[in-house]
Amino acid sequence: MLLQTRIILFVLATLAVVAGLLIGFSSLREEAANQQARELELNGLDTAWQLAVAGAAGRIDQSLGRLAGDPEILRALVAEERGTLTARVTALGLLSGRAGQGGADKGGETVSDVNLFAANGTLLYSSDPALDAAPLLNRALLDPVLAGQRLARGVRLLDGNRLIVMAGAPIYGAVSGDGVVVGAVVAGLGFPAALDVLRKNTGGRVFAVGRDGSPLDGASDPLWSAVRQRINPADREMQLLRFDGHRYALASLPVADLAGGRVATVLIATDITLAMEEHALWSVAYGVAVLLVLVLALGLLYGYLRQNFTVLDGAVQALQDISHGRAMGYVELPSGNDEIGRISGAVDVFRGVMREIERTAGQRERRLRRQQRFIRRQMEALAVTLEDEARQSLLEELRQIESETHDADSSQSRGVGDELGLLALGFSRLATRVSTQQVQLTQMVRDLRDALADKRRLISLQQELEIARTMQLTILPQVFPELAELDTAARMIPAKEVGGDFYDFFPISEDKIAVVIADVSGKGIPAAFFMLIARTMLRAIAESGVGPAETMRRVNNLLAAENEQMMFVTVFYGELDLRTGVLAFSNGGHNPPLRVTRDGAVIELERCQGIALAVMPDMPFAEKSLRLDAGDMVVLFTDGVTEAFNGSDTMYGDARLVEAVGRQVTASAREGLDGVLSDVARFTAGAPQSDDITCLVLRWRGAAGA
Amino acid sequence: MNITEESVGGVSVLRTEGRIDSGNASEFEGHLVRAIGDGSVKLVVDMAKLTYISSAGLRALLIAAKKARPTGGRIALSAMAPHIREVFDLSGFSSLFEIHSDEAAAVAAFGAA
Repeated sequence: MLLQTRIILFVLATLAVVAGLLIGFSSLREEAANQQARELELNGLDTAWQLAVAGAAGRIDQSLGRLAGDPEILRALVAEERGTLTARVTALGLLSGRAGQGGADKGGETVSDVNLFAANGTLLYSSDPALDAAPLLNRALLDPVLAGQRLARGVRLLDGNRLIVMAGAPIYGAVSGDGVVVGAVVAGLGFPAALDVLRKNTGGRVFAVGRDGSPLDGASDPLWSAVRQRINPADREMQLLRFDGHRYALASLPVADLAGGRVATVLIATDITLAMEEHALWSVAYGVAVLLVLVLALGLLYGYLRQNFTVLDGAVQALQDISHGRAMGYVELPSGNDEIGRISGAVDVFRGVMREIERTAGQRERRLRRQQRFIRRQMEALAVTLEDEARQSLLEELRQIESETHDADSSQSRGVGDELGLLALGFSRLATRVSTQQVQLTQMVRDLRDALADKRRLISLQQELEIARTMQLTILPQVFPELAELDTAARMIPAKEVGGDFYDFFPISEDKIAVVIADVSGKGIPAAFFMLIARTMLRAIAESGVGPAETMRRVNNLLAAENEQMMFVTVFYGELDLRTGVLAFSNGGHNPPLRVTRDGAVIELERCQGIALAVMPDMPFAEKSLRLDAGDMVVLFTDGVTEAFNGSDTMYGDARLVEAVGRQVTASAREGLDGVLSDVARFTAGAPQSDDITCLVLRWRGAAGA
Repeated sequence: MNITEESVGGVSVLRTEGRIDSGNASEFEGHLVRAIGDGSVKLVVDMAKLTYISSAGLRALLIAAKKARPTGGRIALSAMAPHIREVFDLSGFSSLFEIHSDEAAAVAAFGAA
């Protein structure tokens, strides 16, 4: 709940309590005043009643005067002549017509009862015709009168049911003249007479009831029906009565007997409708006035509070803005020495502090950005010099640093708040990276050194291999002897790795030359070694002139003897007799050479039994021979030729070779060799060579002697 | 080269596929040696899908045969293509190995033995 509302509610509550208390007090006071007014009213009415009684008594006094002043009565009284008195009183005509006595009114006042007493108190005359008529006054009341004092006037109850107003006076003896009381006269007038006077005096409607509440007078008044219900005969009080649309004040006045005791109650109903209405009107007017004043006061208070709280609200709004981080929104706040002014002052101070903080935060942000840019530049510059992987991880690290800068929860960002925090973070990352790089670099240098050593070893191995290959190539005859009978050409195209093909061409006697083509299984140094051994053995044994089959048999046994590696070599070995052109040959598992005759026919040399050398000792080798015709060409080759593959995995094959060879009918040995090899090269079209390609071509020109 | 191994009726069958040349001959040799193991083994090398075998491949077979011999193991070859048969014939290896027209025949031959 807002303070404003609370204050207004509190003020409302306070006002309500105060107003309630005031209204309560004022109503109490009004009640007291009303009570007093009622008392006064009652007193007034009482007085009016007394006056009425006195008025009635005055009327009686005239009669009393006439009676007391009548000399005849005086004389008869002294003489105690009862008859004279009766006659005289009747004659005076003072008695009103009562009980049929028909006393005429002679212009004076009349009374209803008369008593005449002798000086000794004896009742000498009574207007009551009864024989033992009771005196109007008893002795105790009569004595003061006889003592020369005037009788207090009053109301008297006669015979227990008749009320009269009465007065009495002493009768002085005229003779002596010295004021000796010779008797007393007491007269009474009907009670209604007093009531009439009262009616006349007060203007109200008058009722009378007996001591038991029985109606005495006014019963004919229409108001009586309402009045009779409110009768408390013993109480002196003032009541309010509502009848027939009118309001009446009903005063109840008990009437005391002269001798004491209550004898009747007089009720006076005064029409106060107008007064009451007026009073009600005044009450309403008063209430409205009070309400207006209250409302006005509250309105003024509310307005005042609103006015002040508007200012406070402004201050509160400004504080809220500040608490939400909007210190820049400017609200003009009043200055002053009161609380609001002080709050405004405090808000201004807060706002200033907040602006300062924001400014500082902005500076820090800008500083961070500068540092970020700096780090980014440095790291990017560093990244450029690094290899791709390291650059990626460095840039990743950069992103991480940047994201951590913005992530308020990360541990690093707390440190970043420092003056050079971000720089420190960046440099620590860089330092870590540099040291990591250093370690990696050291490791890499070590690896590189090892690799270099390995490479050196490899190079030396390669050099050795190269030497082996060169050796392999150089031991193969490059230049063939110029022979009249025979034109020879041969070439080995080694595969990348050192292989095991070889060919040979050497004289074994004056008239015979040996020709060899061979293929060692496998590759590399072992194959090269094996090839060297095989070649050397073959040469050595062939030169001993044991013939092709025996040569093969011996070489095979020698090679097979110690062949843990299960290497083997296919060998075609032939001996050509230059005198006859007869070629004797043996074949150890090698591709049969091709013979091209002068008419262009290509024929495979006859196959002859024989397995690759070194596989198994003591294998049989057959020997065949043929006589070459002049112009015949023999092409020896290894499976590197027929099994050369092109890019689409197709083998060169025997058919192509036969065809290629067939085209060399008229060519020289060199041309034939080149023709065949270039055909193979065309076929493989640069596809990697997996095996040595070796070819040897003989062209038999014919026996020299022929 | 692709080699699958299977046991058919107590006979190990090594199915070769593609080319066996000096580049993968040692791998082929490894397969053969593993198939032979230590004990007495009947091994059929099926060549139905073999397109080429070089002298290095022949040597691998030779090594396997030599390894099998002391323990009584036997190696048979089956379903050679003509040009492969030619290689075996030329090199004289045909006389070193049992050669059958197809795998079933090779397995059956072992079963009969």
